[in-house]
Amino acid sequence: MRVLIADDDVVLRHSLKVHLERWSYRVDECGDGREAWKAMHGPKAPAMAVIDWNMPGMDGPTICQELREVPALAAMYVILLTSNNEQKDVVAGLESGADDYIVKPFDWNELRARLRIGARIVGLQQALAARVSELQVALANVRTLSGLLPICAYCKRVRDDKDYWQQIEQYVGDHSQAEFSHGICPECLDAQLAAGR
Amino acid sequence: MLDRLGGDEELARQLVELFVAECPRMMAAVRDSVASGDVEQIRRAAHAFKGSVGNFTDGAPMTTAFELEQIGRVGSIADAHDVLRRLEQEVDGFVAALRRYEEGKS
Repeated sequence: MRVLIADDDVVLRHSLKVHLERWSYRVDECGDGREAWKAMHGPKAPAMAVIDWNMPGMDGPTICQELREVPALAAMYVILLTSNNEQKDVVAGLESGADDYIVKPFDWNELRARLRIGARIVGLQQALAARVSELQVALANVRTLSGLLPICAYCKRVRDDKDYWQQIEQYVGDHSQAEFSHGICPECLDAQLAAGR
Repeated sequence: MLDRLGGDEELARQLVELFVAECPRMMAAVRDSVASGDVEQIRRAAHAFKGSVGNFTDGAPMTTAFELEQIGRVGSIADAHDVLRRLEQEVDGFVAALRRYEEGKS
């Protein structure tokens, strides 16, 4: 899982990078709030971010606030790093949109556990998003089947949205999970026998 | 110190090296801020230095950097020069101790 680290303190940033890589995260790092904001966009956007409260360019809470206004980034899990004397501002930090915070100097095992919580939540959200898009596809198929369907009164073929006439079983098969097994009903059987076929 | 760094000597050595290299730039920013008399600049520069040195110690010079940060926060800079002088002395001693640590490890 990709994690962005943003802290202007080179010492802590390096320490964070080394620890997170040992815990098998893929790490991107930057030392400036504006750089962090840019790194959160695009195809390599991280799933989680550990960002410092005080940074040049853009501070942590401002990043969180702007992040939550972008629908594509709203699910990113953000942990704010705060100093002791900012602890009273923690409520403001969380209200800005951070998911969690940790006070410096922190215990590395605690950070590891908090990251694991974040990774679990991100995993659940991704699974949920995948399920929702599956359901959307299924719903679109159901809608196709529940709309008005032109059908030939004689041969019973139906006209699809590309103006092709096709067998009804093929149309239903293409737009749903249904599969057809061909058989013969008793009335048709009698009729076929009577016709001597 | 090792405890705070996760008990890893190789990492500790890397961090000491980074701090010793970065320290003059951070202290220059602190000095400039005090010379300018701009309280917000003092707060920022002292806060940044406090954070970095705080990776190694929760005593002096971290506490003195915090004092300077508070001066910036409160806005009364009468004592700023005295606190800065004390900070410089403590930082000199601290960096010398870190260098000895580095040499002892290499």
